[in-house]
Amino acid sequence: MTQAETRAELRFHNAAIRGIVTSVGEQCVRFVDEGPKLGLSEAEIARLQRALGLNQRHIVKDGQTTVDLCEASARKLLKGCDVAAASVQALILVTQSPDYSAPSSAIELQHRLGLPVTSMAFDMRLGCSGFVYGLSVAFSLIESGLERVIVCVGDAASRFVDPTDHAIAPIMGDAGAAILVERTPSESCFQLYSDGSGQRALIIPHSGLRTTAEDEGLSATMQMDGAAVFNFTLQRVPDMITSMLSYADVTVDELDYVILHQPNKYILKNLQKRMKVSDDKMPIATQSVYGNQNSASIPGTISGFLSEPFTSRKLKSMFAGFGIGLSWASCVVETGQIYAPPSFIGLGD
Amino acid sequence: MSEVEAVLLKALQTVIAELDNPQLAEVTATTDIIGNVDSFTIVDLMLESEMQLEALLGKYVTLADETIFDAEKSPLLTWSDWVRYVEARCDAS
Repeated sequence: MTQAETRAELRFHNAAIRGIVTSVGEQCVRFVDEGPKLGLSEAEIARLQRALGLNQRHIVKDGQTTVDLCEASARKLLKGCDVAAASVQALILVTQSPDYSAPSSAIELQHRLGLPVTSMAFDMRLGCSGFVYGLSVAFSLIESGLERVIVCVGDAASRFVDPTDHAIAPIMGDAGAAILVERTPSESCFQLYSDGSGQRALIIPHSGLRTTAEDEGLSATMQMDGAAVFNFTLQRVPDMITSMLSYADVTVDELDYVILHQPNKYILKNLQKRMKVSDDKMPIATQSVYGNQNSASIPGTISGFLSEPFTSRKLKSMFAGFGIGLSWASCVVETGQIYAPPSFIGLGD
Repeated sequence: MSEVEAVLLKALQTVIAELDNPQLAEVTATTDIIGNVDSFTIVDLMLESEMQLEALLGKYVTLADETIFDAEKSPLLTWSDWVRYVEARCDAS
């Protein structure tokens, strides 16, 4: 069997996004304030602001979790779309920071939201590729017969990084998004990839049942090999996007938006220039305002910067996520006028 | 010294200006760049070099690729490698 034959490609005709709501952590942390506490000099702070776009980020208050953020988003989503919780047939929670390693936090969330016991609920353990992966599973469920699915994505990443690690702590933001997917005629296609050989590029040691010699001496917080992640992104993402455009039979010019996961300004600017995508089609500022929102970064970008166009007109967009796993995925989807209010700060209204 | 090398040198000096880095105080063809700075400085150097090259050439040249941080293949192993790499990318873009 050739590599082309084993490609994970999906094409759908009857599933579409009807609404997106994103809630971000209530605390706004400014990089100029936290930099000195991380041992960074003024020059280093200025350098990181300029190169990576570090400016501020939103994180949860003590004790709040990803499930709390996703619950807040899902409640607003149901209300905004005027949908009864009892009519939702499936809830998918994509996160690396569940409330418990067992049972699935999606089931707790299902209960909190008042979904019926006749609905299915399960977790998917993915990071920055997670929105596209979760969406692909939701679209698959719709195409297989369900009418209405909620996908929740996000992480309280500030709770799994070492707060004193200047290489990773000031990058991460906390967010939880909820996306309503329904049965309706709409064309979309997905390509999904994974490469476990890059497992250690981003990893939380001592977070499961295995401990290896490489884990010795490491804390149970996210460890990042920045160079490996950088190389992975530049090696894989451009090829994925080229392949996605071909599979979807579209050009960049025919897309309204190209919305990528938002790791940092330099990477995004580099990808933008390589793909020759104009500034207005490809937002790159999410990380500078909210922090790296992991699996919520794509819906977080829509909520944070593209609420008006997604609310007011029909669009064709590419979404692409990439990161921990290593895992990467992209899709081209059509959206009608969806419910997409601006991001909510914190859990309240 | 070519115009491109002059721009790259200016970019390097800008990036390391406020960093205490005596190894890069004087750059020669054989100076090891990647071994003397951290990964954030590399990213900053690429960004600064790209901005200054754009001002010189009137076009944006992307300098990052998957070899940048490669311990054996990085174009930043020596200064002369870096200049050759950037000049080639400028010619190709």
